Amino acid sequence: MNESEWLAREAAGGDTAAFGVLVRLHQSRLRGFLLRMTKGNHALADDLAQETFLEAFRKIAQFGSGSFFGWLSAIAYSRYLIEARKRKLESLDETADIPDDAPEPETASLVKLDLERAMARLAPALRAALTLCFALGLSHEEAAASLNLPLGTLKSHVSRGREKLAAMLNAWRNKVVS
Amino acid sequence: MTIDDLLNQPLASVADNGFSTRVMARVRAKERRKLLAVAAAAAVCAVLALLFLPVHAIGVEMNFALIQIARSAAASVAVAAVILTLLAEREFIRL
Repeated sequence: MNESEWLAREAAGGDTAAFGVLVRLHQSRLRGFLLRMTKGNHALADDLAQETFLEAFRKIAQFGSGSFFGWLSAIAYSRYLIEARKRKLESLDETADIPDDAPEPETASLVKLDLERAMARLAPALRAALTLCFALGLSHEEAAASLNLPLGTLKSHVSRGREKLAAMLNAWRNKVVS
Repeated sequence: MTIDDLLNQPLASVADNGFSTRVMARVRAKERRKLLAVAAAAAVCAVLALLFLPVHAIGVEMNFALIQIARSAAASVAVAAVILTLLAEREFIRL
């Protein structure tokens, strides 16, 4: 049993201090994930992260074993989807077309910034799949459970997302060079 | 740098800046509200019980039952056994 699983078990037994440790342990990664999902909207990402932790506390007894962060990100992603529908933040259709507007040439050389901009142009499901599987290091199985997707669909999201990102980044680079 | 290298870069660390404290304050407030709700429900139940139960009759019956128990030889033996067990346990712990 890892540290988070042990803390979750203590929290389920009514130990709020144990839950406090879980919040401190996972807040950075969860807020980072939501920040990417909300395309850098700090206030919305923090609101969603707070609601995620409150829901996690309410349902802590339902957490069995495995990746605690995976379980948290499942709550966070479903909260994000609800909020995105409510606020009409963006099209949730994963087959939506990608706009071909390139970033400003002077910033296009900043690779990290390019990645964030390209990520923001992906459909939410692809963005979430890529972030969980790469930047946050979840296994495909864990990410599929978090996003409530069949494993095959998750794998196809990852591969399609990667292809679209590569195409966007190459197109921008070519535009800057020319 | 390949696309996989880019994607594998960890997300930038987000400073806590009181976030955990705010979350825990909301968790504790929620817990307090839950406790208050339970206490209020218990108080309402107690008041209803006092209003609708024949408290005096129950008291008389309890009195009678306690006197009967006190007079019973079996109850006396059971109480003696409990006391002796506790004393023996204390002695055992001391040794």
